[in-house]
Amino acid sequence: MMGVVPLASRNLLRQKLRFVLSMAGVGLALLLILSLDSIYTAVLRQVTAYPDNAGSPLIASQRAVETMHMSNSALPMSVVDDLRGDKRVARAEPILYQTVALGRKQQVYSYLIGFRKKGGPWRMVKGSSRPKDSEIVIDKRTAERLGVGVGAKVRIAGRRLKVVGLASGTTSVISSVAFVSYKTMERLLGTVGSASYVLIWPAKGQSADELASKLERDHAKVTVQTKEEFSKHERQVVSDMSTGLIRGMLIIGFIVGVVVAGLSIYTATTSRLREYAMLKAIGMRNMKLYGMISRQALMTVAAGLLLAMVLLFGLSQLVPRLDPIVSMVITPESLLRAVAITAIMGLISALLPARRVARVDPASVYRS
Amino acid sequence: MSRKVPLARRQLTYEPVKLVLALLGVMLSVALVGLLFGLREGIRKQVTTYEDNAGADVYVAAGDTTNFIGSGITSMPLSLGRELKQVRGVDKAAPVTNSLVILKLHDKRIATLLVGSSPGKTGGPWQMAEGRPPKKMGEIALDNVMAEAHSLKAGDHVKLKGTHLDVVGLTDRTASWMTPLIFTTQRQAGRLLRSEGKASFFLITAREGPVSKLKKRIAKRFPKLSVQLKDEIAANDRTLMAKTFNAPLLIMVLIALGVGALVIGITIYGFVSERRREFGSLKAIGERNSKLYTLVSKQAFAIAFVGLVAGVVLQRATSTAIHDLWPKFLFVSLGSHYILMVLAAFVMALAGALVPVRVLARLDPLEVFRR
Repeated sequence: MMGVVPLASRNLLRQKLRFVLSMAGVGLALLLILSLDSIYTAVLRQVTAYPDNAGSPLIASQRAVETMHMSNSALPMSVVDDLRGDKRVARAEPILYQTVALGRKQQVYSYLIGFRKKGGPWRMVKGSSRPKDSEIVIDKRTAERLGVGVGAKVRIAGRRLKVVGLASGTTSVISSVAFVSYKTMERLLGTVGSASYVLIWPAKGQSADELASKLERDHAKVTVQTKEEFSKHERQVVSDMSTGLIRGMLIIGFIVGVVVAGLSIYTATTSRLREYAMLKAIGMRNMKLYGMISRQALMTVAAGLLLAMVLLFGLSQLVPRLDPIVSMVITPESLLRAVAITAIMGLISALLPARRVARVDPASVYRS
Repeated sequence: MSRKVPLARRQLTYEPVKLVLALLGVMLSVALVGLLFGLREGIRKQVTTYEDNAGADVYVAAGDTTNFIGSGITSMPLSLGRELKQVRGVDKAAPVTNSLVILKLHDKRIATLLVGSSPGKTGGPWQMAEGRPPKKMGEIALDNVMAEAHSLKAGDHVKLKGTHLDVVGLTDRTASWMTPLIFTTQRQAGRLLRSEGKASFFLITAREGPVSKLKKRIAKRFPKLSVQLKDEIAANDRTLMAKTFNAPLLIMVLIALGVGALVIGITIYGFVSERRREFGSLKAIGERNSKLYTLVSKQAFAIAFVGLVAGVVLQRATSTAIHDLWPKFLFVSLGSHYILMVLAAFVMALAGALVPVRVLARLDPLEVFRR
């Protein structure tokens, strides 16, 4: 019985050290892409953390304001009362919103939310989720960055607020969310009788989608969106701002990956040129040889991908410990993207060595 | 007469494709490090565009305000301006209302920094590329880089927070990747932000004497207000915004360094492993390990050096090309960046030579006689 000799893997694994170096090179290049992707995903996820978790299916804002991130919305309380009086609305809860720099020496850019009964923190790690007058709930990671804990005081707009609770899931590299009572927020802002956004729960039998357009039609001063639309627009602000930059970095990472993989496969191939000439001499066709080289390239980049994933997981655990506000989110989509990128990388990197092998003269094996 | 054989160079240039790939890898890694540092510095510079150009010496705001961008909770009655002007040494106290706002242009949502200033007073646009600064309600001036990207010009209209505004001018030197500046009148900004009759900041220009003393006088007279020198508030903005990028930047730089080192490592290891017999022969005829290490290190440093030079050229060309194509991205290269790039190349060479040196150290001179 004739067995198939796994030439590609044998060739690749014969020099284990070189294989390890190649795998590490490709792995790091892929890590460059994956880590950027995961930081970006974490930012996109955090930027919608509030609308995603505030609990209301609909969010109303000042007319033509569709976002919270880098935005400003102001509504007179009469608008909130009008919405409350609408029979199609089961509940309408105002919130006040403002961006602030929390802390003095170590500052964290933060969304400050003033809430009454609804719209407060959704996941607590420690302490109370209902701050009273002159109290505040901040994210656990923000607290670590600021070096404070429950019971400590943080300064905002000249006032010292006592930290009474630590929330989680609201911090990313670009901002964080902190919560105070509505009254405290009014005092901080120096305004009474207004709201920034209104959280709306539809009455029984009302679909959120339809109610959003009906409310917008009937209440001239507001823009009403479902929380999904609101989150989509939040993500768009961030992605419109950073798409070019992220794409540029991904392209550089991709080229680096191709170069490293190409270099390793080329090195592995040229060191075995005699063997390839031998295979040609005994009748192996160029196409088969190309296939073999491509398999080697794909195996190298696949091993690199595995290493990159392990390193990424390690990095996602390590980085938040070094800087609590930096988080990394690994999603199945980004892993799938990485697999696709890896496959393309492998195939491109096999081109150069394949050309070299194609030019090898089978007779050269008899000459030396 | 014996002549020296340039072994290191001959080995390096024996396989040109391999050498080119190695140089490409190091070049890209070095360029990436340079681009990342340049971008960070560019962001730091753009973040303080307003403070650098507005012409104010001292910034007065409410409470504990430390930043101009994202200042958030800061509002003071406009009447405070009159009291500020009475402080000795104050020439002008111009009210300014600012806020981050989203400007929807076509299908894009652009985060901008809206500045509302009193016409003719400190705090408005400092250089016009086209048209004039806003003078009355319903007027706006846009950053010209952002305007050009969206085919807007003076005479066009935009809608901000549901209000139609006439674009009366395009401003120069106000571009920013994060938040380009847009200008309107202080009254219009107050109306848009629902904070009429209030100001976020008073921009103070000194009449005479050192501004630090003026700052002290204002702070003494108004102890509940935040009083900062231009440089202080600019430094705070730089810290708040630029530090956002520190951790991701560090991750990218470290990975790029690792890639560069591995590229050198793979190449030199390739040379060494393919020439084990030659190196074995050299050892057999009495060549010392230290000489062989020097040979390998020379190769590693040669690749790192050429890769460094090519990387710097690529970094300069790429940053210029990106800025030309998308002027909102600014890359600022400092001398320290080049020192870091040289250090990066040095580290890559050292790390890249490690594995081949270990292989050489373990190489048995007898190996040459076995085959």
